[in-house]
Amino acid sequence: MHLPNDSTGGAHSHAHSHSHTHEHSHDGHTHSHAHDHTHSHDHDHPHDHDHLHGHDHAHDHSHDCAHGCDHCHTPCEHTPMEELVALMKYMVGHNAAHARELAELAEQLEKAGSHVAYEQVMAAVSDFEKGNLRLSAVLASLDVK
Amino acid sequence: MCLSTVYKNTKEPAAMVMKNVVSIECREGVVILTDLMDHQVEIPGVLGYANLVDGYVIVNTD
Repeated sequence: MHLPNDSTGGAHSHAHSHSHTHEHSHDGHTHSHAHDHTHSHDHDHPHDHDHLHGHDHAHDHSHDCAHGCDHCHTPCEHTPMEELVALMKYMVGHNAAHARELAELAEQLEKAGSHVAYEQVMAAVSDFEKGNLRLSAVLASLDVK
Repeated sequence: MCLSTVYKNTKEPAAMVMKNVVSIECREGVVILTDLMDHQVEIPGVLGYANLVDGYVIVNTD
């Protein structure tokens, strides 16, 4: 990962490729992984420490996916189908989380004295889960590893 | 939380930087986006606005 570089003098243009490992966290866990990237840019930097880029353009990074991206053909080059499957997996999990949240909301409605609303929301949760089950079946049928 | 689409400065299609963003890290003047496939993009700038209902984020680079 790049870390700060506020240098302003001695700017030059070059392309370079390097590999480095960094640690970050998401979804409540921390892990580290290495990634390679190549880019060309104008700036000076001593290259004896990590740095952030001080220029106005975005950098794409690809990872080695050593953290569980086990379906990659080559490092982080995914087919459209792989991306769709990943998105669908996310959606199925996300829907399940929403279903749980709705069930909790229903329980709060019941505690607040609205049993009819509780029953209606729980019926909606059931319908929601049925739809999500159908999505899960589609996902399983795609069989992309 | 839902996935977000990140735009640079303005919410216009041409300014879109990344879709299906799962995490955003702001570190020392750089916004680091990671998508569902674990691709990363670094944008020099700051987090300007995040709409967590509609799922979009604006990064200010000006």
